Amino acid sequence: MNCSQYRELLSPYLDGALGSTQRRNLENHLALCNSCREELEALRQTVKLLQAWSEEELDLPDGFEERLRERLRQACQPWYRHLPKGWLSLAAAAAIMVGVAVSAYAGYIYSPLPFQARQVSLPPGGEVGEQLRLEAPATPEPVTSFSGIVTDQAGKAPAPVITFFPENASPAQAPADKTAKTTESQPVVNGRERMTAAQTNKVNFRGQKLDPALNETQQLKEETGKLEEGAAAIKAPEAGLTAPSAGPPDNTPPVPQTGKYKSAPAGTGRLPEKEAEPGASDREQTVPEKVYGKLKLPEGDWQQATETGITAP
Amino acid sequence: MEAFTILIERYQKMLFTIAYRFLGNPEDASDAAQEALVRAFKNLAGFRGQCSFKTWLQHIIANVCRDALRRLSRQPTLSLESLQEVEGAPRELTAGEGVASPEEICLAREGENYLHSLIQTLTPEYRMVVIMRDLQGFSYEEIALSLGCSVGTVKSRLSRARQFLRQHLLQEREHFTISSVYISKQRG
Repeated sequence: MNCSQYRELLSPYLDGALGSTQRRNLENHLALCNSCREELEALRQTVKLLQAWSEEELDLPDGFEERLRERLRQACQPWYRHLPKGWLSLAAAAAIMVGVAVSAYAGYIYSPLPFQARQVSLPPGGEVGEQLRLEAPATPEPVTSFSGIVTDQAGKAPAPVITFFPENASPAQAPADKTAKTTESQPVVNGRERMTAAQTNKVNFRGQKLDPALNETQQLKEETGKLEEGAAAIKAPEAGLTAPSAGPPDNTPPVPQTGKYKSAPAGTGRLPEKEAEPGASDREQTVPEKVYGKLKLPEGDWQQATETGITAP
Repeated sequence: MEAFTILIERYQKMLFTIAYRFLGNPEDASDAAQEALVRAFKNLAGFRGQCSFKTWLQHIIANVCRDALRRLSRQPTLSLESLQEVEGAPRELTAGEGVASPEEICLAREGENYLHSLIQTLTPEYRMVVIMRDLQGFSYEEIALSLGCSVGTVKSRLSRARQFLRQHLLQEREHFTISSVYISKQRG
């Protein structure tokens, strides 16, 4: 090490912050180097000068104590008292605006405008399997129960009438869907585009791809004809009316039936009403019998209908 | 609050003086000293007596001045590196050259004002270290903890700051040796 490097150690040497090895080496060098020894002495005097300088105290400037008391008095007050006047009113107004904005964004504020939900309804005099019409009500109706569908069509033009063609619908689901659609829960149709796609691309109204090899129209006609045959069989003597053995269990919950089917005339494609059977007890009646108005098909026809896709509910 | 005012009355000048050494002007020093006393008043319940009340106030004023120096660090200062680059290696003393001690020179040049201006030429990092060590008497570890640096950094900064002060005092000695006005008066 040269003198310059040893002089870097003079300051910690004065403070006693050197390790034993460094201190011993520095002391050996100081014993040989007069210049570094004088440098050490000058540095020691400088440190003494600084320490003596630190004992001197300057006079306080004018107004120091008054200002200090004022700041101490402010420190005793709560933090919100330090804020400028009017800050609280501004903060309250801002909080209200934020609350209203958040509520409006979240949809919690009630809109006075009525909204229209597109509903599915069957024409009163229409035939089963003929047309399924989706139309909006002519006049807005007040919403009395939540149907699971919330639309924002308030104040807009009525939704266009969308016509379903039975050939696009699945024949196996046709009776069950009709029953379900006339109950309290109204289905949603997502617009004309889906129907256009259904008509052109051979998809059903749920957007599912249909098997092109299957002629749905023909199948639906066949099922409709079988239903008509069943309705005619109901009017026949009771000897030929037996419940199919493959019927559903008795504990199946009944599907609610609306009044639209009760007065449907036989032979028009609608399910006929139940013929009075004074001798038959209620325990022989199965759930689908209640649903379809005691519709009973001949056993052979029922099996055929099951094979073609008509399933018990 | 009145009792606290009486308690701190004896420390007000000390705090103002230290803040003046740190910050260099009476306005900032007054504000820093008041801020330190307000902080002490707010945190009086946290004082556990682990050190003297004076030492506790010294720590508070050092922290206040450190924060103030960081805010004021944009002000142009003279760095030690630039000074050493301009002036070259530290001047070596020759044997028998001792004419006057740095203390004599400092007294000859109105003492504290000159030393105060010398310290203000240091960058805040070096100024903090030399004031906390030589004026406030903190240990190397306490300085390192307060400044968030290592003890080796504190050693290095302190050594360079002391050499800077000593070097400029030596230049002043030569200046006064040539003019031999004030030193002669002092000796006379």
